[in-house]
Amino acid sequence: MGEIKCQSCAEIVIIEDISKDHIICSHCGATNPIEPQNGSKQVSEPDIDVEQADSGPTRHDIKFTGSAGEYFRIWIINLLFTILTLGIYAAWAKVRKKEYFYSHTILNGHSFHYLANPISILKGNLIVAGAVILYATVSNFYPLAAPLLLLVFYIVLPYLIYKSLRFNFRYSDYKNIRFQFLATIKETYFVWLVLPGLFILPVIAAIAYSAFNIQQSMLSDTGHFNPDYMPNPTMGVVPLLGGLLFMAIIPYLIFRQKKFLFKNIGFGTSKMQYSGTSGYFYKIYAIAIGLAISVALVIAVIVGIIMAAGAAHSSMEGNFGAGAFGSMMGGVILAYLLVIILFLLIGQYIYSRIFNYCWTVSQLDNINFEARLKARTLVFIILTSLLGIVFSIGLAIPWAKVRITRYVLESMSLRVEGNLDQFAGSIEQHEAAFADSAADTFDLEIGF
Amino acid sequence: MEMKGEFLDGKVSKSEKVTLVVENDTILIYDESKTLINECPISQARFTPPLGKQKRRLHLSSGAVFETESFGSFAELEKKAESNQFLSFIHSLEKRWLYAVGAIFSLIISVILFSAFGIPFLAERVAYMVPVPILDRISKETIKTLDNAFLTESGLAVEKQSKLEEIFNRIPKNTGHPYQLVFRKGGFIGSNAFALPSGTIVITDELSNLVENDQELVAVFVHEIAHVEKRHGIRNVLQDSGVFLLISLLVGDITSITSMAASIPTLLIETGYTRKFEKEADIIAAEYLNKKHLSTEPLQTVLLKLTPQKETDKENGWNRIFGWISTHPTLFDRVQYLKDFDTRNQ
Repeated sequence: MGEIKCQSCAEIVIIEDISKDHIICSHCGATNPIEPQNGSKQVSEPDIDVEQADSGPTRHDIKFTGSAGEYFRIWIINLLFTILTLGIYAAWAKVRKKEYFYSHTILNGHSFHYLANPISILKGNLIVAGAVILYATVSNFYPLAAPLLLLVFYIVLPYLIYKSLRFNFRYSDYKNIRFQFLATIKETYFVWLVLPGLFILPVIAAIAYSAFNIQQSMLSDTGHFNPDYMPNPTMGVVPLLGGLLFMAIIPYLIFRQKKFLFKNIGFGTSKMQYSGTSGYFYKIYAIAIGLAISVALVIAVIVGIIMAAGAAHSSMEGNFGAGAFGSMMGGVILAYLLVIILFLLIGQYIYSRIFNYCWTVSQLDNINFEARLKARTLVFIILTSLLGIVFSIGLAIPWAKVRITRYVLESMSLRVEGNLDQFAGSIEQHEAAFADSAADTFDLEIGF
Repeated sequence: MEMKGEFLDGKVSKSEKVTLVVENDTILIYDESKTLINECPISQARFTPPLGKQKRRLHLSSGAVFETESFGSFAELEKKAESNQFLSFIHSLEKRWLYAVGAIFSLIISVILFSAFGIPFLAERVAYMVPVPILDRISKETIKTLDNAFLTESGLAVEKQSKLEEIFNRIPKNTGHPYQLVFRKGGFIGSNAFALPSGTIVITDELSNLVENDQELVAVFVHEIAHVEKRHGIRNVLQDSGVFLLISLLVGDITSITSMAASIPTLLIETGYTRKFEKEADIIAAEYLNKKHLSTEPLQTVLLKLTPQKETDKENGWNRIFGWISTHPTLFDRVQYLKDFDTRNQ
């Protein structure tokens, strides 16, 4: 009799018959090889996070040791001082928050660290605040100039992404070896402006053009709505084609964005290798759309039945009054909620599959990565967190953040040939930091 | 002073156990075989601020890092170097639940005070500093936009326009603003009058025709002029921006769905501001009418004419709720206030 830790799901599996050379995990069904008696794979300490095989790679699980209570106290003080200082303290608050999460992320007994200088972040914040005030003022009084400003912003955006990623990586370290982001500006612009522009602009133009045509045909010669208007089906062809083309391009764009991110990760003098292909992304998006359509149909049917039942019930009573209205409202609210959950599920399905895939196809010198995110767990965490946040008027936010971070990080492992001691540091450079906060203020989630 | 800890030299991802010793304002690092492997003057060392229960870290001038769990000794050295004084204070606040609870209350009070008093006060100061030519520019752009959107040329007879202008001009105003009464057909906004920051006041034909006597016109004009004199337009925009920045500070780091939820309090605060301004304009109009020995009835009549009957005499739940999110105090409240004003000034 013995116990091993399942290599797939990390649950303890009891070995009835140690003469066999493998055992099926009763939790997830994965096949686990059984090491000979003198192998060190037995689980003896409760919080072991390293598995040493006699030959072959060592598995290191990532551990997150943060606690909601401790982070809450840091978070509330951050918030108070940020408001009291009209936002100046926000830079220090951000560094403290990031360092809390970094330093509680443990790999092989050592943690990560965030080293940014709050002053740099403050400079960035001030510039961004200025830009926002400028935009608000202009769009309020010169509404026609506002789209122009937005266009300028989109042209500057790849530069902000570039600076932000370089800054965040530069000021992150593990065992005092710094990370790097090795993309060039040209590469950033290609992936974030040229590619999207090449594909999306013509599609949007086509859709806009047909919409305009439709509107024109709806008007009679006097310029008013033509009451005899009958929609011409052929008008719908171009927008439909445009929409389909749009959907066909998105997986490729996402593939390029993820590749851009992963293949440019540097740690010390080492560089990440990324071997992902676009095929997987297309597969995932196709499945997602298929799921979305089928579930949407089911929702429509359910809601339709509810509303029809309500209407039938009250028409039997003879008055089309409160009863019908109630069930209409109920139907609408139910539909709304179900659609939100549907979008959430589909979204997290895509996110988790792509996340797991990108890490699996990445390699850093002697390290292979593994990620085991599950969409349903993510959805559960997100929904319960939202409920908690709403009912606690925001006080549950730190708890939600710790929960989701723990889940995502602890779904990751590294398989290391040898050990983690031989990475070499590279020469430090100092980057202007202002774009870091610029990216964050506009909620650019260009991370993983 | 001596501390045990780990040393990471930054050149290789390997840690070793070391002892840190301080001598003559210099930090000395000895490895396990008592060899000196690194040294750095205290003044050139960077102390990472305390955070939670994490190990303390020291960045040395060579780029190496020393980590330790000797919190007491480290804090002593940090104090000696006069480093992280403010952040150590912050850390002491973050350690106790008592302070955290206190922070919750302080936060709520601060936000309320800021929304109710701080932002309006600042907005007022700034609004009065804006020079009239800029107000003029802004107003010209706004009327252009409105004309493109839904306003059309007035169909009001020229004589009627002159008559209205005459009544308008007779009302005393601050000559600093280039006041002007302009006429438009309201289209889908129907009977309405509104003031632009410069002093241009727009009245729709629908309202011009709805009004029955000169006093009602005077009431409307004074209300709108009050908006200009008190710079409500600019103040409103500034206050909305202020609220936006405040909510952004609070809501900074959470998911998009919760920031959508934040738009509800934002809306409540912003419409609250607008209602306050409307009330202020009503008060000024009431006082003007009172000075002219008139009751506030003309203004009440106009307000009542502008809304369908059932809204004004039903003070029910829906109206109350819409009142919270509408930009005007409920009709009922406004008419009631004016009635009370008359009673007070009998």
